[in-house]
Amino acid sequence: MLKQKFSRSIISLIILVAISIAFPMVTSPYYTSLATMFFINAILVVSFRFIATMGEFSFAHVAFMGIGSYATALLTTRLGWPFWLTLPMGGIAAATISLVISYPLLRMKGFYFFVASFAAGQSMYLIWTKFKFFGAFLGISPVPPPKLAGINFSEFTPYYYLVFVIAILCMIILYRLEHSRVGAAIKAVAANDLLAQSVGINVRLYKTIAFITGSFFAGVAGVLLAHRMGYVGPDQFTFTYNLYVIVWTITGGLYSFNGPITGLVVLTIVDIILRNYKNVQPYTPLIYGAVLIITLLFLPRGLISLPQRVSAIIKRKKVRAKLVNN
Amino acid sequence: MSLLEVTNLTKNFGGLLAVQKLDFKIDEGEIVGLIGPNGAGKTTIFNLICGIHRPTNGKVVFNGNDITNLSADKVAAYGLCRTFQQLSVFGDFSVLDSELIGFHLHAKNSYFGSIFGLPSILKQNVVLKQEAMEILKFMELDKYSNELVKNLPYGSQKALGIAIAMAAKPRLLLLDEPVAGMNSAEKLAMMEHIRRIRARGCSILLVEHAMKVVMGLCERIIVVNFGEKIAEGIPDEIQRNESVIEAYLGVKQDVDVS
Repeated sequence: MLKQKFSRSIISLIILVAISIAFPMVTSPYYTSLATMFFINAILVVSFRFIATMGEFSFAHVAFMGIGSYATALLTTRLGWPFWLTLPMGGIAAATISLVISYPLLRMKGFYFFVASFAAGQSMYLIWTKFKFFGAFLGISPVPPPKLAGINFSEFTPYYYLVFVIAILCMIILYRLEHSRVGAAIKAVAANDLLAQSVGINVRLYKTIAFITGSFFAGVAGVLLAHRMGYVGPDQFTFTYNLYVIVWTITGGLYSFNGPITGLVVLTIVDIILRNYKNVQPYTPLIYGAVLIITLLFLPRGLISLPQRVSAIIKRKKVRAKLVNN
Repeated sequence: MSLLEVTNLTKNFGGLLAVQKLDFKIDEGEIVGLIGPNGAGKTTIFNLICGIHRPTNGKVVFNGNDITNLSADKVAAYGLCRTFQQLSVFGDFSVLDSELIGFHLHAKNSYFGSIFGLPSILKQNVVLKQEAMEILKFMELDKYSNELVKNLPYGSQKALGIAIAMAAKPRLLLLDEPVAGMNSAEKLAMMEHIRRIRARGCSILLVEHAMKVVMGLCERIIVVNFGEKIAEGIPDEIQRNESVIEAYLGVKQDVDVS
């Protein structure tokens, strides 16, 4: 039974990869560009959920994406560093700042952590808007595209494949970490921190690992964002964006690895459809909010739990029918 | 040298003196009981010893090491673990996964090793799974290995709590009400498990309210009331001790039956 499940997942994975590879060849540059953004958001949402496995929601996640974006913008435009160096550096910059912030931040839990992480994110936003060094409100532009042996990464399609490959790598790393002893320790801390301590798990250490890791990948996503837009500015890293990340995660399913991506897919499709109805489009945040509430009411474990819920309901109906007939 | 030496242990919760000048020792190989009426401070004493609370005064020495102000995870590294009366397991985990967590101190928890899938890590996972199943079998939980912990009967959850602590390979195990909520058959089974745990080389200090269990299991009993030690001795002595009887039942009153 387990082997059946495993081969089913492999097949679905292969199909998804095949679709992703074929995508730019069958659609317009506009949709290719949207798909690139999708993969950047995928890194963002999966890394957000990695932090969530320690039991906390980070409202600084998009701000760490911004740190990655600004890091690459500054390094490429002012120091002439190549993209291939700034990609890891963006992650390292985000991870370093998250380490510094973790000292006060991880003393808090639950709602307090949430609010404090929001404050941290807002501080970063303020720094970007206030200081000329970061270009204040105008930001930094142009951000040069990556260079590699004659491939023109300022074109939509090559950049799409670059982002796709990097996104897959990030997913693999985050997946392996979650399913390792490190990931298990993080989840144990979230489930019962006293019990985890009593078998020798340093709670503070593992929360820090979760936070830094998630923030690292947010930084990487930021680097990819900067080179897609060719521009970095504070207006890209808003409160609303972080909210969307939370909505994607919860709608898709907080309790599994595939959940958040599922939420991202569904809501991205909703978003694209709404773009065709100009009169409804401004209400997108309202619609996102409604989706979130409906999910929490009817499918608290997210869209990904839908097959389970449906089969459970069918089972219950069958059992009831049997009892009635007897 | 005793395995555990507690000297002058005192805890003051901002005016509430929960534990007062407590002295006791536990030697290797013993099963010792810690009893007392509700609110006597037994769980607080456990918390002080294993590092969940810091004592206001006093010393805790384990195996020659001063563990007085260490946090629970560091204390566990010295070989002292505990179980919990409530919230004894990891909610949402499966039984096997919960057990695997317990091996934390004795496993390689490598960050980069896990990412790159190093052979040592992969091999370790196989070995740990076997060891986990062994411990689960010992506590008669192996048939539940893939079950979610929250679906287990209460008694099995408590047993799992002990199984998880055993994975950390402690030399002294503090059991907080291991038979609470169990029926007679389950209690007898747990008593047998505890004896076998001691036979495997782990000493036991247990807090329990079920007197038959305490008297049947423990070679030595410490009685506390209002945070102070009021008696210590073998089960027979404790049962006849007047201060103990007074603590549980109150002072003998002459009743006028006329």
